[in-house]
Amino acid sequence: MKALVVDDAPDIRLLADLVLSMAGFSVSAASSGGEALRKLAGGELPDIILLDVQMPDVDGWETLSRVRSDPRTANLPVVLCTVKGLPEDTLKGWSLGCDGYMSKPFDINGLVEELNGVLRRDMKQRLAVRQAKVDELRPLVSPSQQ
Amino acid sequence: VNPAAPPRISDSDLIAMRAAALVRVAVAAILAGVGLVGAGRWDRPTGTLFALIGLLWLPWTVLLLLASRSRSSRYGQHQLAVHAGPVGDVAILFAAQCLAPWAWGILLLAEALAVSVAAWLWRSRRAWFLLACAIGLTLVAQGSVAAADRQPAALLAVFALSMVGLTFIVGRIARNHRVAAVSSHHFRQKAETILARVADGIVVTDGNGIVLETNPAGERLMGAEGPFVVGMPCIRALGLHDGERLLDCRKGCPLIHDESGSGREVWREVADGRRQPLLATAFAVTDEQGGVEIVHSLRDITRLKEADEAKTLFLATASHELKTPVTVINGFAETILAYPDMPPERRAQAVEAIRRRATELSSIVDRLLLSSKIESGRVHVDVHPVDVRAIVMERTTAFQDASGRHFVRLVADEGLVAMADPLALQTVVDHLLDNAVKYSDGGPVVIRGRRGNGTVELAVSDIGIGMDEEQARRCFDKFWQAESTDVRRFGGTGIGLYIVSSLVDAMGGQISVETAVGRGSTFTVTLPQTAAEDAAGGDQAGIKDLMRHVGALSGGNV
Repeated sequence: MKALVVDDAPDIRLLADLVLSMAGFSVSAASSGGEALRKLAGGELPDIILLDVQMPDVDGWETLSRVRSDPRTANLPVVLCTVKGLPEDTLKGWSLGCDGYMSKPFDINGLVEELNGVLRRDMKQRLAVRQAKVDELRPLVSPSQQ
Repeated sequence: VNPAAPPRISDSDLIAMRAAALVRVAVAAILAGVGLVGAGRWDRPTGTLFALIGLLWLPWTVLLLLASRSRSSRYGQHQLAVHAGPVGDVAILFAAQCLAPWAWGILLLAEALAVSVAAWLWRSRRAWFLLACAIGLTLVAQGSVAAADRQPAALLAVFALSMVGLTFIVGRIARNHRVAAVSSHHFRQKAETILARVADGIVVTDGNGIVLETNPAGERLMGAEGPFVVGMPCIRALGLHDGERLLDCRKGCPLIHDESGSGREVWREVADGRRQPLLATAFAVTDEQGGVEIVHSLRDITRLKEADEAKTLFLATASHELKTPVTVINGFAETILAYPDMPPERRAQAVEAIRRRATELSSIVDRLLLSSKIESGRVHVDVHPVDVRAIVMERTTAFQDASGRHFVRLVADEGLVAMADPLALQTVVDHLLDNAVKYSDGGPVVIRGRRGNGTVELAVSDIGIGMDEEQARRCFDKFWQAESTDVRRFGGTGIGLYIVSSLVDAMGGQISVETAVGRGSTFTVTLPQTAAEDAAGGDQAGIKDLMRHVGALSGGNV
């Protein structure tokens, strides 16, 4: 399985690389949303993307939207991995079409399990999870924050 | 309550005094008229003397009437009417008793009236003295008239006793009345002062929501319309909203049903379209006619809300800043535990990452602690002559080592001595260099030191991203950061420049910034060259420790 890790912090990239390689993934990394999109446009097509949100240049939200709007990558599984853990952030992530949401700090087994869990689901199941998460979170977030 | 206000006669006294003056003028005029008419018909001397007394008394009573009717601020004139009136009455009545002993009944009644007026208005022992004089003069008059006109001693005794009783009762009633009037006056003044000075806006409406009155704070709250809101419907004058709903008070005030008593958060739109948050409470009182009035109390909580938002924002940013190092430390520690047979170079990378992030974490925590100490006013600096150049040179060298590719150049005069605290100055220099390096995309950073007019100026310039006017204005605010979106190029908790400006302040110096977007920024710290005042403090060990840490750990993104 090929994973693309997108994070602006070099040591987080290193950590993800280490953990995911040990778990049998082959890992490539990008230090910003822009770099990740360039890699995707350049023909590199991973099986799953691990995406940070707060990044210079193009942030994670924008990256996710662009990945979803490109027909070539629209069905690519994306797991967000961010320090932003408030319900409104999580809701935003699921609404934009992520397939998993990891809050930093995460434990390494949890990360591997999350990626494997997402990869096991087919497109229909992933859409159902997205819808369920949005329905679950919407009542927790006031309208002004959405 | 204004102690400098001129003395004023009370309203009830004014009424009594004016009534007495009018009665006096009327009696004098009647006396003069009766005397003039009677002079031709009656026993000649009596009529003439009546006319004489009446005509002589009349100008005096008119004078007193004018004095009593003068403006309420003319205290002296009122005092004349109050004091001279009854004295004159008793004197005139004495003359009348001597001249017209046959009219003793009406004269004694008039005397009782005159003494009562004095007892009411004077409320002092002088009223008893006047009473004694009146009784004495009556006895003298009795002695001076013909034996046939004298009254029996028993009747005179009854008269004297009645007068004593009357004076006592009137004096007592007057005193009670005065006590009540004074306390109600003071109470009203106190209530008015409280209403005028209280910081909350008070707006009183009738039961249908029409504004009846408001205090100065209430007028300020309503801005330009403030002085004109009386008579306006509350819904227009205040226009309070709860959430997105306009509170309609035409059919009863919706705020009144708030049982908690702690008020409800509402808002009103102010002139520039901004929403002004208010804490509103309302309660009903009964007016003089038994109708209902609603008293609204409105507190502007804009600053509270702003502080609250700043704190929330800070918590969010700080926890974000803390989460990244924790993720790295935790993640690598778990990895090392989970994979004991990791390749040695990978393990070394992991340990190095843990070390670096632990250092960063400790630096962030130290800065947070320092900022909280500054906030609670527990920062004391020990200001004494310090070789600024030496300190800056040391920090600059440390910086070049740490950041590698960045070029920090020092341009400073020899022998730059300023009044400063060495540790605080180190912290300031570190933060400014840290910021300059962080925001300058690898461009050169120059730190210049020079002597000013009795001051030492230290300017840190970069040619980085710079700030716009709004950003420059707010950059020293606590928790403030130029970047608040997720496209953050730079981390940080937004307390670095707050710490810098607080420390510079504590050392008696000043900090300013010159900046333009895309052109870079120059932060200038001005320190006094000689001691201004004693800024030294007591318990410094803790804060020095902290500053040593924070100063030494300049690599962290805070």
